[in-house]
Amino acid sequence: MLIYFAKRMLWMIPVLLGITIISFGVMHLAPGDITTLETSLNPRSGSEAREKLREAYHLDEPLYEQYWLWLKRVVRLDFGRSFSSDHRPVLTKIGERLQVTLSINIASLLVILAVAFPVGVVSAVRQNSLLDRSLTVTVFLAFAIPGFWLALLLMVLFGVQLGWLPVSGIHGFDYQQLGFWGRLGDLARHLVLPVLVSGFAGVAAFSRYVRSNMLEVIRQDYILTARAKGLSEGTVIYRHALRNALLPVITLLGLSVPGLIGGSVIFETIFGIPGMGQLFYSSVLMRDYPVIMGILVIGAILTLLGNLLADLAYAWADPRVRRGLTAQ
Amino acid sequence: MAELPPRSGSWRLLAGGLALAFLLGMAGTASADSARPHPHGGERVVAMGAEPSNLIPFMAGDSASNAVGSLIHASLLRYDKNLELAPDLAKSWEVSNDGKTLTFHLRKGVRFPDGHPLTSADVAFTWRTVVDPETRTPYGEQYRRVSRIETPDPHTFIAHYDKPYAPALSTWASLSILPAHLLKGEDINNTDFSRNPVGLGPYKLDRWVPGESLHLSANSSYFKGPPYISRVTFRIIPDTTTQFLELEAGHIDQMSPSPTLYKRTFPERKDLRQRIATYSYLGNQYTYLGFNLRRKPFTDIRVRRAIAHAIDRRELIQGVTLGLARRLSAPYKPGTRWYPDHIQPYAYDPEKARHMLAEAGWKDTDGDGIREKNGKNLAFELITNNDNKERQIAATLIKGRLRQVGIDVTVRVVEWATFISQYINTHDFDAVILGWSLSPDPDQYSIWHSSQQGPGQFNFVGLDDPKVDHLLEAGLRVFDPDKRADIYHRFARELLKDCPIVYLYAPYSLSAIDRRIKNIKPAPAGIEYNIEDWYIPKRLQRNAIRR
Repeated sequence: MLIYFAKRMLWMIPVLLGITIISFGVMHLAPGDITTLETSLNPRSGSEAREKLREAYHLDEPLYEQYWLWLKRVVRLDFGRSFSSDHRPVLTKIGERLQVTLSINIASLLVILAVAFPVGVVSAVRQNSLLDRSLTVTVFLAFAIPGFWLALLLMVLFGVQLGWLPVSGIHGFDYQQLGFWGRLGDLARHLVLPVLVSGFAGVAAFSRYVRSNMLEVIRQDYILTARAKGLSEGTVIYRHALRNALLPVITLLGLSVPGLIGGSVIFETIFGIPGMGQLFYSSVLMRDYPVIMGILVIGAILTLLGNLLADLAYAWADPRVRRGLTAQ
Repeated sequence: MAELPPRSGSWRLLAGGLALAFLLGMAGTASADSARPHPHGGERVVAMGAEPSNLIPFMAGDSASNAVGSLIHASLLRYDKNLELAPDLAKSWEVSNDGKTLTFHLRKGVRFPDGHPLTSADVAFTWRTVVDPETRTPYGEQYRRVSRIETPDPHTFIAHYDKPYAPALSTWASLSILPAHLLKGEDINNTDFSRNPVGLGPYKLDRWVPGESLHLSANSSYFKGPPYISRVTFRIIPDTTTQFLELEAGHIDQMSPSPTLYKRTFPERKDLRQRIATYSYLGNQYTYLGFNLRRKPFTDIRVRRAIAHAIDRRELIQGVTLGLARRLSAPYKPGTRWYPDHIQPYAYDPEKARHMLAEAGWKDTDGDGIREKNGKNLAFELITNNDNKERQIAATLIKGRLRQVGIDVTVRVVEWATFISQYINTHDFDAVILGWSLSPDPDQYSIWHSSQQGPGQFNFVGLDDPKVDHLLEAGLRVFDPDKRADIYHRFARELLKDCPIVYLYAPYSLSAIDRRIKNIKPAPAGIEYNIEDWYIPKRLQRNAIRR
């Protein structure tokens, strides 16, 4: 098991290296660089300034040289400073936004799980009943509603008409003066709508997944055995069926780990949330290479770790897989 | 400017009168204890679409940094409401007879918020920093024209130039003076000062919540006395619709609405109009159709002029900006001294356009509606950037109008960085829709002089007119505003005749501001030139805004 783990970790290094090389190359394929933008069409600036900036950022050197410079710094965990005129360290810029995006995404994942499981189980157990059908229709409607539109409607209703919730942003102005509970409450009030809206479509996908897994498991022989033993329906469904139906969900959760740091540009723009989506989008438009690479590397690491975690969790949950691993 | 409509019934009028009397009474008591005509206090919350990047003004080019930086910093000179140069940190200035020496006399008793007095050493330090080749600023070059500086005493600053350079005065109006005592020995590229600035402007920065908001408070040591409104808060809200909802909910006081919001939503919402005032005033830029003068068919001036006659500017202004723009015939702001009077724009006259094209040899011989000459169709590609919806609509309308006179236009939309690096800087385009700013100084040497055509330089349309060159050179040497105006009027006429671009429109800037904020007076310079004089009546000051 340990050897397996070590092997997987070692394999991640060349994979990661490959990802950074490809990302670096693709990123530089886009025409223009930060200096075309910082000085472009600004009659008060001149071409001399542009050359100076290109030199300062090493943009005048060949691509492999730039990559090597970048790599040498990154192995020392120095992601450099942003090219944009704030010149702040890349890790600070990402760190500020990562907490926001992470907390929203984790909260919305919890909401999704909390709603999707019961819905999926009930739909499966009472397959084709009126309840199942109405849940299916509701869930598909939720899936089909454009998120930005729903967000605006909810903002008008709760933020403007009723005045119960803030319209946008994630902190009130007096956040700093509040105590711990006050801060928590302030944050919760600001996050209700974003979490709700971002979870909305997720519920649909997840509950359908749980439903189909449950349907498959319920037809298995061991469920029949459990029923034959005279176990109560609740025990059969929740102890015997659901546990087995959950196995594939682990993979799904593992795959959603990198998604946790990704934000949606449209969604963040509407709610005025300073998240990763906006940062990445504006960095790409500005050709802010250090920030782009920083986000891509973190994303790549999380994807690889997420996959590894999913595999390990699978092994832990499923004895068959575990036996397979130790046999290796 | 949406004014409140008169309500019916004399009772309401009477009530209004009473309220007014009450208000005046309040104002009276307020001024009694502050000995100034308006009350101090209150908070103005402004929505901004993007976060400032750097609050050292010459290090940043973005408008958000500018908007906040201009409240925190001050320069030697400033522009008044009519965009004329006026004293600021310098109480007066002199230009030597040969135009090579500028002498600024600094105001005495000006202090930074930390109590340190302003001296000519601060000005000298700021100049040295901006011209330092290590400083990563796009604006260094115009200050490198200064060959030598002198600081004979703490309140005199002298800048020497090798050649007379008339725009020099305007460059000192845009150079914010930095505190030498705080920045000496700091690396200006990576200093903490950029997010924690100390300046000589009416406000100082208290707190910056990254990605969310910036909180400013009145600078009590501001040399003109602290501004009336005690706190200014900028909230970063990227989406205009969200900004509008926040305004509607009463969480912000000020935003820049879209033309649709301005023209359609506000007039229909009585409840909003009572609370929110809307302002429109000429903005700082114009949109144009630029030709590549190196390429056929635009080498022929008759084709360019025909296109100018074939485009319906009224339709553009209605269709693109819902009427919230005005026509231009010169690259200057109407209402300022640089804009020539009695300049005649190209009238919309498709008949004349057809005639001119025929005269130039372009005729439709095969009956497909497109003119041709020597077997080549009269066709070109019109490029603009993908993040500007208005320019795209303009391109579509222009395509339609030009089709009517027999010109086939293909519209192409590209991403901004690609547009600049692949098309503009390499001169690889037929025609473009772009914008230039209406800067307060009339010098446009870098845009129109024939020497400015290198890759990445700004005369990318390729204008090469000795008369224009001559006038632009003359304009650089003359300081007298009246003589300068005469030169640039002649330049503007010549430019219109050459027709290297077609002026499309100059959009208005739009603002929606809570009516509790008083003393806003739109002028050629916009509305924010007198920001220190804005005030909120005591009665309407909120201790804490509902959020």
